[in-house]
Amino acid sequence: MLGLVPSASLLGVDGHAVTVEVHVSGGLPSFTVVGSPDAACREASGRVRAALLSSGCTWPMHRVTVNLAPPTVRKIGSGLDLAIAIALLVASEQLPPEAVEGRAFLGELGLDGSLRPVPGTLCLIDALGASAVVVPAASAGEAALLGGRSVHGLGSLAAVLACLKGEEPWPSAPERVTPDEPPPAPDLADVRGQPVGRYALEVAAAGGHHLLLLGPPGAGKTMLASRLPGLLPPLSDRAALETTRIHSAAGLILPAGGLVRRPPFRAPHHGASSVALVGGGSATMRPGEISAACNGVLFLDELAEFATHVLDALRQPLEEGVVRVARAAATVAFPARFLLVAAMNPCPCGYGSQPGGCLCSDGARARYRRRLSGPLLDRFDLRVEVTRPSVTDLMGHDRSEPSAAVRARVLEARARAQQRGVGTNAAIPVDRLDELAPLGAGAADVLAQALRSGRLSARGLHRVRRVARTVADLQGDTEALTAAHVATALSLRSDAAGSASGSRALSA
Amino acid sequence: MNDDRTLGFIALLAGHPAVGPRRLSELLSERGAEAGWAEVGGDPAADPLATLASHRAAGIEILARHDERYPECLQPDPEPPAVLFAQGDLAALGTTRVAIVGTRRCTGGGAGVARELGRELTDAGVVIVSGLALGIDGAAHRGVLDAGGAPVGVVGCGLDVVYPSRHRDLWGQVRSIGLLLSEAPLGVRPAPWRFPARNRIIAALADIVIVVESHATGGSMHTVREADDRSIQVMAVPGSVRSPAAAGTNRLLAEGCAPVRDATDVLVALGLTAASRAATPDRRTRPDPVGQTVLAAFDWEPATLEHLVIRTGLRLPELALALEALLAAGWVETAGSWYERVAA
Repeated sequence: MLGLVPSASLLGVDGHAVTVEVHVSGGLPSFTVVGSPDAACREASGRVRAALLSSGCTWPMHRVTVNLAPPTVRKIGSGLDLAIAIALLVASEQLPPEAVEGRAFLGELGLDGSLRPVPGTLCLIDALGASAVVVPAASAGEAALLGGRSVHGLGSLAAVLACLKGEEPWPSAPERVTPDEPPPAPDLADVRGQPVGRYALEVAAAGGHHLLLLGPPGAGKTMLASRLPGLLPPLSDRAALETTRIHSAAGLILPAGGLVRRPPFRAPHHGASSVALVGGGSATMRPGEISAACNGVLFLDELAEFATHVLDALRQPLEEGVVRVARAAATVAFPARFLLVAAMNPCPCGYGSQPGGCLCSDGARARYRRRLSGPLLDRFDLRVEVTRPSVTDLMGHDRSEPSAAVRARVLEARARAQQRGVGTNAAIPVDRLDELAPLGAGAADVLAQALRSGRLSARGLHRVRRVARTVADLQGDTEALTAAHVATALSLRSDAAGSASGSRALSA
Repeated sequence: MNDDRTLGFIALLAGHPAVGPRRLSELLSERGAEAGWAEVGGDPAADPLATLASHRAAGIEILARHDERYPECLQPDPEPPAVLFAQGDLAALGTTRVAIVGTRRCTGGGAGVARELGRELTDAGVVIVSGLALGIDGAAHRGVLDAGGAPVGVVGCGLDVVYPSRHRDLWGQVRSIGLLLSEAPLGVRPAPWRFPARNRIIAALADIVIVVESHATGGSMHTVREADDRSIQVMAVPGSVRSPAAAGTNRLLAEGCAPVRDATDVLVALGLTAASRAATPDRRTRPDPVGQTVLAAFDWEPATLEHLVIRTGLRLPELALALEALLAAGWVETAGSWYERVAA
């Protein structure tokens, strides 16, 4: 007496097909789960037994063995409960095998027989070969996103059994919910003054350049950064599906339509551990914050307060757009293409970058700067000082430009980059810079001067050219870069590491 | 020979961690050098002659108070250093000395003033004494070197311990052209208490102490107190009331200290006639109209791009281009993301 039911288990952001095999035989009554279950999965016995009894089924007083095949894949969590219950009913001859033919089952059981959603439904569905899938009603919308299969969302084990026995019709596939207009993102019009900070945001959004905001406490760094998602275009279908998969696997709440359409904005607290940020965990292999920010914005407020090793863990994903987490049990790759925006004070007292303005000792400032490694600092194409605008500066201005107007320019600039086939300007490879971002005569002079004075390193040169390309694209100039484009890019890349006035080097 | 032993023990004592300037003076006057070394529990195996030899080999003179080369002006001091380690040309001390001191965390404008004062006072025959620290001190020394003068640097560590290490070049120039003085023998690391002690020597050596920029508290204010104790005139360079780096100097002015607007003010206070100086022609290229607008927007205070955009009303690309030109021509300096106007 054997029951076989297909299901799936989650590892990282990938589903793995699992066949649930239940064997009922003579012997002392017992219930054993084999095939690399984790603790939550092994506890299925208690939930399945209670749910069966609550749903009017009988518990076989025999020796029950559950095998989760293949045994090499670790089964994590409670998503196999429903499949185990159905396979057990088949094995104990309470359901005919034909009734479950061609159907896969996903979902966690409550003791009362109710069906509860499990994280990663989208990824799990993807791994299933069956043409019909039974999922908890709450996950039906998410499960239907992929298409190509009939998805039945049901609320309880009793309802599933009724449909399987033909007593009730299968519910029709859930309708595609047209997403409600999402609540408006914070608008740039709320930011008064801050012309340079606003412009830097625009360049970051248009070119995909990582942005570091420096400034004293209360200058509005966080306010600016939270406006960035509102400047980005909505996600493409592919990007939306990728981000939704990650959010689903991470157990984040998905928007009403099921699909994450708006670029995500993740702002982890600076106490975050490296696993929380990068992903992993010894058992669950959950995606971290940087993957949750995939195709969106990762905002690290108080950058210097993050642990140094946590920040250095960002360097590889920043370069490759993917983070590979290796544990003894498995190696998982999480997508992690995000726009990094960070904010920090220039020194512990917060006023250090103004010449003569710092209250900290030399040692305190040096320690503060050492928290950021040079290679990480180097990843920021845009490094901008934000200052607290004075009252008169604030009052002298009309209402600021709203996000919609800025977004229109951003979209045009992004379209220009796409036409060049490089995605965003931040991704222009070094060997194509001369072709895609050629320097006009004046532009070369400005760069040469900056190199001579030591303000610009050879490495920074490429980054300045990419930013200058974006500046030009935003103005609608598609030809060679002019001196003004390059000068603007230079002015948006201040030397954050040397910003303390104590390090003033007197020349000439 | 006996003198050499004594000098060696003085050097050993001056480097002992438990011996400060006052204790050293007491020990030498009450016990003598060798007995003092035993009293402080110094290593009995220490070789005074080897210590002396290592100093002489490094070109360092050990000047005890009875030495005729010991600076005359320090003899009547209330707390004269019991010993001075000198490297360089002792004649560089000259007869008229002005100390230029100020904060390490100075503005570009402050550093410019210190350098200019150093240069012009040197031209007028005044010897400049300072502490070789970052910021104002370093700028003053560089001004002296600009004018081809011999700077005098008083430091708070051994003469072989270059501190701050960023001033290694400057340190070498002062040593080879001018004079380096310290109370500490070779190998002594800078300790926090040594800097106030160093400041008293700077004050004591000077006829006038000029504070170019100082925060409300800090080492320069300590130098000012030491000068006050010795009835040495203190002068201060006025700064913007909004600049934290000028808070200390502006307070000094409010308390009645004489202002320094240029080198002439100092020369008059010294009783020297200001030599009529030919105005050095400015070799900077004149800024274009946009550049002039930007320069005017600085208001002689450090500003970020943001300040300048708001004050000038220019678009960022125009402003950035104008700033690049001003930087290239030397009208403006930049530190981090701040810009400063440094020339009129």
